[in-house]
Amino acid sequence: MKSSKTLYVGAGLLGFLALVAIFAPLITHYDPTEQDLMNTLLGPSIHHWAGTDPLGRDVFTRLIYGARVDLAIGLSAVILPYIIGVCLGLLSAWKGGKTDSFIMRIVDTFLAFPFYVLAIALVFIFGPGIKSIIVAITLGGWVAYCRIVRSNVLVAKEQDYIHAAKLTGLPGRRILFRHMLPNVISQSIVFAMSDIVLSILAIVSLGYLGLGVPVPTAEWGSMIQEGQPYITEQWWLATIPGLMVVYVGFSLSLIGDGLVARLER
Amino acid sequence: MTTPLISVQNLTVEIKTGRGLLKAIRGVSFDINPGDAIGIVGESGSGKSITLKAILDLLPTNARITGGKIFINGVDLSGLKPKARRALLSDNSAMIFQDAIAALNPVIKIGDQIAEVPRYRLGKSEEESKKIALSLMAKVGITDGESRYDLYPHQLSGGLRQRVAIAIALSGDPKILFCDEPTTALDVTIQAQVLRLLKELRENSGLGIVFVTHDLAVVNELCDDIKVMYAGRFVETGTVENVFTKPTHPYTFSLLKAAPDPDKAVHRLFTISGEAPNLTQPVVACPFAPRCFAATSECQTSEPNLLPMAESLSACFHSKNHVNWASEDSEKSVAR
Amino acid sequence: MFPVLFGISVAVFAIVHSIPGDPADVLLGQNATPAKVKVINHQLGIDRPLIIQYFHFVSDIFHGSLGTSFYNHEPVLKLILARLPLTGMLLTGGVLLSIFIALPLSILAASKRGALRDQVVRAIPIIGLGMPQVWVGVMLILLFGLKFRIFPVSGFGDTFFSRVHSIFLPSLTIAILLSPILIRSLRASMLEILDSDYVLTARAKGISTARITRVHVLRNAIIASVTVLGINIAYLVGSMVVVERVFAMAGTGSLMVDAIARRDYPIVQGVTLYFAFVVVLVSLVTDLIHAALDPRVVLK
Repeated sequence: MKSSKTLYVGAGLLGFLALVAIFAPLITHYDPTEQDLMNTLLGPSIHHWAGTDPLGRDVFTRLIYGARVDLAIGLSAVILPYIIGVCLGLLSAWKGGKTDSFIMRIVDTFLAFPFYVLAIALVFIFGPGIKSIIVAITLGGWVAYCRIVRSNVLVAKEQDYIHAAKLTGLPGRRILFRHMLPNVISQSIVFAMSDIVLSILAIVSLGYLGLGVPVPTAEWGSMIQEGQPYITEQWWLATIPGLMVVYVGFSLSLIGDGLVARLER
Repeated sequence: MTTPLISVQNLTVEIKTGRGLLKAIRGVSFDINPGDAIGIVGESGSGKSITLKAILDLLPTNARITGGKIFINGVDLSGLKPKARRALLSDNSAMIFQDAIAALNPVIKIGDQIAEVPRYRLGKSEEESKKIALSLMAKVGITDGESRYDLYPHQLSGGLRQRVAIAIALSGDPKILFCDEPTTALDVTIQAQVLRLLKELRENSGLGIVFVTHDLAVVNELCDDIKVMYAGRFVETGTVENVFTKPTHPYTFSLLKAAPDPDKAVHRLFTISGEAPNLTQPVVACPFAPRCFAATSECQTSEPNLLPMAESLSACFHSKNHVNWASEDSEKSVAR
Repeated sequence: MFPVLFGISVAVFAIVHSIPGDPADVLLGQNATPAKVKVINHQLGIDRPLIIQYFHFVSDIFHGSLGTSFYNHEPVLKLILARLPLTGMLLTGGVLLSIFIALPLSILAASKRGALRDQVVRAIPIIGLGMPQVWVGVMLILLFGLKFRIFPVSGFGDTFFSRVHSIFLPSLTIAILLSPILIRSLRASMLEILDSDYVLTARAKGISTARITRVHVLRNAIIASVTVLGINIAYLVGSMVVVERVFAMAGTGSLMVDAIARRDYPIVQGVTLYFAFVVVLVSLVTDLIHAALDPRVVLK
């Protein structure tokens, strides 16, 4: 009972933010990139709920438009590594032998590259932008899924139901995708929840370094960076975007924990 | 003479372990003809399950066949590519496992699991496959198949699960059924039902059965022939009747003594003291000698071969004395 | 380990060769003419087949040469080595601080399962794992650097003491990022140890809880932390790049970020290679420490 509660609370919190992001134009009438140099660095007021930034843009508006960018990229960035990692993990463990050791050597190599170093190097190649972020998260992220799925498959491979399926002479594809996949997928789905958090953190960090989503698009990482010089007076400029990320991370953690508890039953 | 369904000739299997190469199977041979039912009996670690896995190409990655031949319908398995081997095996044989819940996929409805082979291997239509599945369910004694078709394995009782597993095994219309202790996990009444089912299948459709177990009573119930396995070899083979009434190997003799006798009211469970030998070392003496009541210095000279004795085959230097063992052994037991 | 080093060299080589545009254009800037480009390409060896270039690249690494910076013509290796002490101190400081934070909290939580203190400690990873590195840094600057003015908020001192003083906040940032990960696995492994038969045996023998914690639990917990740290080393090293930036410290990470702005690709190549090497080396060291602490582990 308690596990479903965790799951629903997490999903509710995330869903609420997603709705706010989707209906952002209905919630605020400001434009997230429109500057108003007569009204910069205002404190919170009835007109500007979270004040204005150094260029006079409405901070509240930028926060919820930022949710669009960070959530959308964060969620979509894990799809590709998920698919690649799961497929290679399946292939590696299922084929075994040379295929397995070849894929595992590639995995080891990727593991040696710190994610941010890889991301920065890729930004160097493709230039800052969403494309670089997606490529970097894909290159850095598939490895974890590959390892998780591989170890699950190695265990499942020795289970009698897989032996039984093999013995009945079903085609290999059928055994792999109908019998194996549903039984080995759950742990990778749980991991995907925390991976979305990691990818949002990456977007934020790259945004902070000026290597992420190009300005002036509203994005939480670049908002932190823009707010840092004003930290003594307008402390909320850098603080609130970070809290938004913590909020997203918190709800995804709850979803992940809820899923774990549900799967363990 | 007709070609046997399966012929295993001098099979050897080695397993790589942390303590060295383990010779798990050291020359095992047998034939199965239609309608035959043989029981392979031994302690855990004797190699009986590995024998099945070797035949069915299910050995774990650290084990491999190092010698001997396996023929299915006269075709040598070792000469085939993995795909062709798998096809030949699944066209002719099927297996049921000790633990049905582990052998059934937890996330697929039982009906779909039974219908899978007709649908995806034999290429039948969806409705036809379902019809076949329902008739298989009826054949293995699952009543009310329509309503149970959509259940998942965990929603069934142990006996029903094993029936589902048998239905799946039969779905490919096999000629030989390999059974790896399929009744061990079941309680006695269910066990009897499953055995009755297997017996019917054998009598009605000429199914050959290879039954691996440590339970002598089950072999007595179902099989004509028995192979007693010890340390990777057969140490006594013969008809169930002969071996059970006149054991010619001390190991068989001890096993029979150790087994609870269902005919007697008192169930006394003897165990054979001592451990099975370490098969990572070369075998230079009779491997059973350290645990044997009849062992003499002769048993340390070499490993005895499987030779005719009475109506059976026995691998023991002292098998000719078997008629006296009952009195000898009871004296020893008293002395202890 | 050899295949990994080989893979790293291929990967870095591939990254550098995927960079669009000619290095000659970067070097010559406005003065590029086809003739000059050709000369430069020949000097750099870019007109030779890829496989030959790869062999030159590997042989240069073996000779300790990572090329020279396009920007100030200094050897890349020298630039990296100059910034090594800072990165090393940050890494060490971050790891030590995170153990100081995570270990007591995990013991506290595991010693009374389900109690309030356990609930509180369990909440730490749920919140902590979602905190952006840069934001934690900025918050620490706000709190300790500007409100209480205990620690410097940027730069790297000259004496050892001032250096330790100045890396405290960045190290704490790294520790705050790492602790949730550590706490999560430490708490779980300690609960497992406390439930184990050997701890029950010790209890039955009448050994005090304090001693059980010290002898049985702590040792195993430290082994567990080393393993967790080893697994997360790449994440840790990567986070340092970002943290150095927040505190405007001239470490290896900053070197790389600056090089990107100047399209100084020998430095990007050198630092990428260097980081990958550090990760491999640290993983090896954690394996050795693990083997030293745990008698069951045998090195192959």
